[in-house]
Amino acid sequence: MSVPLRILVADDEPDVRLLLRLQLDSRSDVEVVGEAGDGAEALTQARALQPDAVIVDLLMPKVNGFELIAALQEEQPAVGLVAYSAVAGDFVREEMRRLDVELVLKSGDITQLVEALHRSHNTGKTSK
Amino acid sequence: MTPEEAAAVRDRVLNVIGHELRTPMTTLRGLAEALADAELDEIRAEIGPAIVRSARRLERLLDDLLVAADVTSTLPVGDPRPLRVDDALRAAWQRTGATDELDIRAQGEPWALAQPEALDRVLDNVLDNAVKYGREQPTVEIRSDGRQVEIDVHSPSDLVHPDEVSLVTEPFFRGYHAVTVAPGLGLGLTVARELTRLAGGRLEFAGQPGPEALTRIMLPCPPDPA
Repeated sequence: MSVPLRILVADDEPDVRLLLRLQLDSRSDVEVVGEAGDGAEALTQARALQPDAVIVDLLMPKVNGFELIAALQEEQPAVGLVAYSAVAGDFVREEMRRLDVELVLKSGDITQLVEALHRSHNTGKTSK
Repeated sequence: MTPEEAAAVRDRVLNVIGHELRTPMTTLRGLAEALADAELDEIRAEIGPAIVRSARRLERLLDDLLVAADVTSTLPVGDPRPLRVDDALRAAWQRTGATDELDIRAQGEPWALAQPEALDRVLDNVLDNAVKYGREQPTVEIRSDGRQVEIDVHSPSDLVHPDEVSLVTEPFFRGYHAVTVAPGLGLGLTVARELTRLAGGRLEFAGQPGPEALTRIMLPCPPDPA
């Protein structure tokens, strides 16, 4: 059996983090190893935990998701990153394309998010 | 306002409303689905309150939209009565989920004459803003001369540009920097200002050196609070 993907969840909504933890814990291919309520906490957690991939909410206090993505791409280029948002206007979609970060909407099925996490992790391993 | 400006405002408002409705609705649906699948009682015990929180958030959102549109049918009911402002502040601070105690300094008897649910909503909206946009925990000063009580909420924040200060209490306004930090409809202070006005008081917002955001809530005092 392959080792589960180690995931850090960064979202300022406690109930979103709760829901993600419930949905991801029910699967055998991923494991939530940490949670962060803002981008600054997410950076601290990422440095300590060295996750395989990070779920990044874009609107967060202290350090927002855009800033978090930039910091992690600099500090941990191999970590997989998936942007997770309730809605995504043109600016967000274009910015994620520019940053080469996959974007998943919160209204989608959890399978979409998990598949994106695996893809981001594999991309990180092969291209960096 | 030109038709193009009006269309831009409409699009911005619809986008923000879309986000604000989508987040709790999606969370609510996901939690309900998880509840149906959950086997362990301890997981179900976590999910139930979370469902209630999302539902309440949606209710508050709809109420705020209606208040902003001058629809009065969802305004709190009941007569105003003497209320301890410091107690109401501590309860509102607890509702934000903060674990540290709120720093409150009071001069004089901190009583206000207000409808309890309305005062709660005013304080909830002001403190929610402080939590979302403040760099650190807010501090509160209360002053009363027996006729009027003033509640100053000081929130260290560099997210409000000086040019934006006069717009902060306007419906659907969100600061240039604030939009990158937290979601929001831009109605919190609008609704707080309106509820304060209906209570016979006034709410003002100012940017202060520090920098910090200062929200001042002024309410009438009861004639005999005891």
